[in-house]
Amino acid sequence: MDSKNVMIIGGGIAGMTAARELAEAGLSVDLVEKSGFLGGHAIQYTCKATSECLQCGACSVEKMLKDVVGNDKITVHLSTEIETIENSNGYSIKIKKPAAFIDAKKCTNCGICYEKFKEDDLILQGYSKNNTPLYAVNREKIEENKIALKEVCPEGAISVSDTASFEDLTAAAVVVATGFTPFNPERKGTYGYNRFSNVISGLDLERIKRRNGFLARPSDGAAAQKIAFIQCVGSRDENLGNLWCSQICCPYALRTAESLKHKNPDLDVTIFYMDIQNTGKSFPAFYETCKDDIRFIRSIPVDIFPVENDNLNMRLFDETEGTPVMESFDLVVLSIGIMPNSENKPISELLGLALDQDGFFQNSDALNKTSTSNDGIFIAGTAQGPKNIAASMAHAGQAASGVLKYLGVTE
Amino acid sequence: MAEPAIKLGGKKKSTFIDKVKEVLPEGGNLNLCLTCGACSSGCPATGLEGMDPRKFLRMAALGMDEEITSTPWVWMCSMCTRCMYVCPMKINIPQLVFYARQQWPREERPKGILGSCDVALRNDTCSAMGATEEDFQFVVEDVLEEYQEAQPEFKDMHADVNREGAEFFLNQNSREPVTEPDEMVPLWKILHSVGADWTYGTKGWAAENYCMFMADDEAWKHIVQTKIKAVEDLGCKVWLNTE
Repeated sequence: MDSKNVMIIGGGIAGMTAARELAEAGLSVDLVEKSGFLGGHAIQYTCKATSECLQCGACSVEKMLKDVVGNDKITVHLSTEIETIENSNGYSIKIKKPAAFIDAKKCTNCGICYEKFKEDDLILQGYSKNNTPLYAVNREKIEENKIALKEVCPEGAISVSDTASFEDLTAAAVVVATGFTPFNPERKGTYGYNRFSNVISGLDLERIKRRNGFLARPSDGAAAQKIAFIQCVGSRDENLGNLWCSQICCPYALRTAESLKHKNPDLDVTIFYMDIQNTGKSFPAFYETCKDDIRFIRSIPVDIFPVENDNLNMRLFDETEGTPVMESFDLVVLSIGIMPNSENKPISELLGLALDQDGFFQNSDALNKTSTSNDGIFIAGTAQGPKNIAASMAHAGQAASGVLKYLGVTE
Repeated sequence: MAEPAIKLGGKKKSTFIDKVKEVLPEGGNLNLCLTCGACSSGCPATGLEGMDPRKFLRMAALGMDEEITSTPWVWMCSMCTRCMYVCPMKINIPQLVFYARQQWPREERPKGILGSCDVALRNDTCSAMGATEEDFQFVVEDVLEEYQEAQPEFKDMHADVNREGAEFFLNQNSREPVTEPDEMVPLWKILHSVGADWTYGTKGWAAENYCMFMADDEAWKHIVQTKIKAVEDLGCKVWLNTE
């Protein structure tokens, strides 16, 4: 077989899946990731198991990360961006690497650099122990910290140069797996996100659980006892220009609530929703069981007021009661939706691809959601539209299969 | 050949909500409701008379015309438009409420609003409290004199009535000259401090318009036209309505 090279843009669950599929088929892969770590958003999520697996998919991201990191056919370029891409008889790509990075071959994950610089945000830590290296230099802080960076590592694993460097790559095909941007809940002003410390997003909840091992309130670190989830924050909203359903937030909230209840049966959970997207084979049955543990209120709240002890008063309207009441919660979780990647426009211009009316990458063939107007470029994962972890992996698998056909590896 | 498609039902009866859709831009988005309930969560009148904005809109959508055109809840709405502001689909619920008010026989509309509208229609001041041109002018001049004397720093303050050619024609809610005359003064002081060129008028000075809240379009129009004429007769450039 010819040695054919494929470039994958984006190292989240979709990009990693496509990389592994292609590597297993014998191709070599350049996996380019803008941040310092593989795994994207999906790696930040925690297991949602109760006494049984709730099929959230979080563990499959860990496994995929491990597979990709250990695969000789996959070259991972972290903290790297695409500078230019030209299409003539294959693709010629110039990538840009930062002036300072941690050399994966020399780094022992000792954490000395992180301990020294975590407060300054200069060294960042990956979400998974499978991130290799486990630490990364924050690109935005390199310039003013070059000398300190040179000296901190006993292994000499932090490479520091005067300027960013460029590297030329070639690829026979390209997979665009640039993912999504989470909705910024500050845009729903009355919820007080970033003003009231105990109003958090679902993604914040995951990070808190990873860091603390339990759901600690940001204000005082105490275990949350009475929490509310508000659904559809940023999705299905014409005022915001986001008419789509993000698809992940209902299963997310329900699984998270069940998993929290499993660990702490006294936890009081209310979910405010407009309608629950209970699709999928087992989800309707799961939803029914959730009703035993969770209070569901079919009205989206509007007003949250901070009260003593950093608690939150919410004016809520339970239609079965018919009158509004003010109720206090000690933590409010906003189930934020999947937005198009905020950099989709420049990326689409770089690649000469079209975006759809919502700002996601447009598949050129209505029946093949990985297709683009450029035969050698394929879309994978949430770059194309909202998807959960399993759907992103399936979509990436489909993109990889498209690449293999395009390159004549399979028929 | 396939059998022809079955047509369900007869001609759809035109309902109240359809009529409202016809008069609103974009149909007021009245058929876009996701039933999320944000309107009801945010509405100050939710729960009164067993009604809330979502329930009201759903009942309208279901064609329950008799119920929604007879519930007194429509008169408890303050037309604050918060429901529309928080609605993800920008549904114009306030206008639906407004047109429901219009379905009420005039004499059955709430006494307070009805009486205030009728009093305002009686003379050119448009005052819902029946304050006359002479009363208003006397109170303004009397209060002004009192403050000019008591507070020397405001001895040059003006509160003119019927001064032709002023930049601003200022309206005044009747409640102040009739029951709380001192409450007029803070705004005068602000206007004085910024050097605004303003006047009151003896005609069309009352800021309130209960005929609008009563959904009496003809009377509402009459009140507005009376006020516009007063502004134009004095040759003022800007009409300042503080309501």
